[in-house]
Amino acid sequence: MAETPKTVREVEPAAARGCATGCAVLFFGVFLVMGAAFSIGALFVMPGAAKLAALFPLIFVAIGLGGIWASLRTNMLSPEKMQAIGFRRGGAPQLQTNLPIPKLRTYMGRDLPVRLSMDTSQKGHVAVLLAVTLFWNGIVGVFVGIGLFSSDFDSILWLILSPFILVGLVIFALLVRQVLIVLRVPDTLIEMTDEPVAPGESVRIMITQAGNLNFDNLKVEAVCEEKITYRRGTDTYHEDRKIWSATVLNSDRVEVLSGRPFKQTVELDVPADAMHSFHASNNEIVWKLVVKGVLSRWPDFEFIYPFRVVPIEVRERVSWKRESLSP
Amino acid sequence: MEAGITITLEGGRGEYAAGDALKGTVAWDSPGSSEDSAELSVLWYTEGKGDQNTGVVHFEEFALDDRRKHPFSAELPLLPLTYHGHLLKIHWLVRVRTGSGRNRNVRFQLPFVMRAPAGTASEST
Repeated sequence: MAETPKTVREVEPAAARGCATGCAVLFFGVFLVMGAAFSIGALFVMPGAAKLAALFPLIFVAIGLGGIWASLRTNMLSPEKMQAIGFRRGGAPQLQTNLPIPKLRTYMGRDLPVRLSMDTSQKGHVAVLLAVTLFWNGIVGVFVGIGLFSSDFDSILWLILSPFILVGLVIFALLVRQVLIVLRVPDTLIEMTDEPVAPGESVRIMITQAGNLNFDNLKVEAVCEEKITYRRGTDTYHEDRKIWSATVLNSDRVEVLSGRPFKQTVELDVPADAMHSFHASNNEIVWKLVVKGVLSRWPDFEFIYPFRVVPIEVRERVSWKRESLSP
Repeated sequence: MEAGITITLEGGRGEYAAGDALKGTVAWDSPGSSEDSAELSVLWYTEGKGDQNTGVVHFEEFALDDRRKHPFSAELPLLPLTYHGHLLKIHWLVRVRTGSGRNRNVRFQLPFVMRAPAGTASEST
C-alpha cells in the first residue's frame, strides 16, 4: 500500500520576486521621469497655444504611474492568487476544456476522417529564410559596397568582414535549397482515422505524396519528444529529447508520377504507457510524424506534422474542432 | 505568529484520477490574530531543466481562526497527469500559504499523484 503523504513546510526565497519588482519599478520609473520632464519642459519652452504639446508626454507619465502601481500591487500577491485572479476575470475556470495541450489546426480528411497540417508550411520556411537573407545580406552588403568603392578599406577590415559574408552565403544557400524543394515537392498529405489518439490505441495513417519525383528513400517516423526552454541571464536556450519513436514507413526507390500520387496506408500503435501531449510556455511533450524524403539529384526534405495524444476519456469529453478542406 | 499547518486528504489518499473531486482538510495548531488568513490552492507544476510552469486549478482564502480546521473540495481537471520524464516532471500538490502581504512566503504542501481515469493505461514512461 502506498505511504500516506505528509505536509511539508518550506519558506519560499523572496529575493527573486523582490528583484523582479525592483526592475519593473525602475523600468516604469524611467517612463514617469522622462514623461514628466518633457511635459514640464514643453510648458516652459513652447510659446502660446503650442504649450498644448505638453499634454502628449503625459501618456508616458500615465504608463509610468500605472506600471509602478501594477508592479507594487502584484508584488503583494502570491503567484497562485495572481493566476486565480486571471481565471476569475475570465469567468469560471474551464477546467475540463482549457487543457494544457497544444492547439492544432486539423481538417476533415478525404480518405480518412482527419487531415493533419504541417507545423510550418513550406512557403512559411521560404518567407522566414528570405527575410533573414535580406536583413543579414543587406547590412553586410553595405560594408562590402564601402570596401569595394573605398580606396582606404584595409585588408584587416576584409578579414573581419569575411565571416559575416560567409554566414550570408550559407543563409542564401539555405534559401535556394528551400526554394528548390518548394518548386518540386508538394506537401505530403497525412490523414488519420482519429486525432487525438489515445495511449494504447492503434490508428491507420494514410500517406499521400504527389508530384513528379524519384525517391531514393521515403521515411515516416512517429516521434514523442520532451522540449524545454530555459533562460540563463539574458540568453534563452532550447533543448529537446526524443523519448519514443517508431518508423511507420520506410520505402526505398519510390517513383511518383504526375497524376498518380504515391499512397500508402500504415498502422501506428501508440504505447499504452505513453505520456499525453502537454503544452506550457517552457515545457512541452510533443507528438509528431516526421516525413523525410531523399530525392535523386535534388535536396532532401523533412516535413513535420504534429498530432496529439490524450487519454481516451479526455478525447470523449472535449469537442475537437475540424476545419473543412477548401474544394 | 506562524501557525503549524497540516493538510490531510480524505481517506489519506495519495492518488487521484483525472476529473475526480479532491476533498480534504487544513488544520492549524493555534489560532492566529483576527487578521491572519491563509491561501489554499491546488496546482500542478513542472520540474526539471526548463523554466517552471504552473497551473492553479483551485484557489480559496480562509481565516486562521478559532475553528482550527478548514475543509476544502476541488474538482480536478482532466490533464495534466503526473509525469516523471527525462527533461521534465509534472507534479501535483495542495499548497497552503500563510503570512500576510508580500511576506506570504511560508508554504505548506501536500503532494499527490494524478493518474489517468480508470480504464486508461498509466501515463508514466
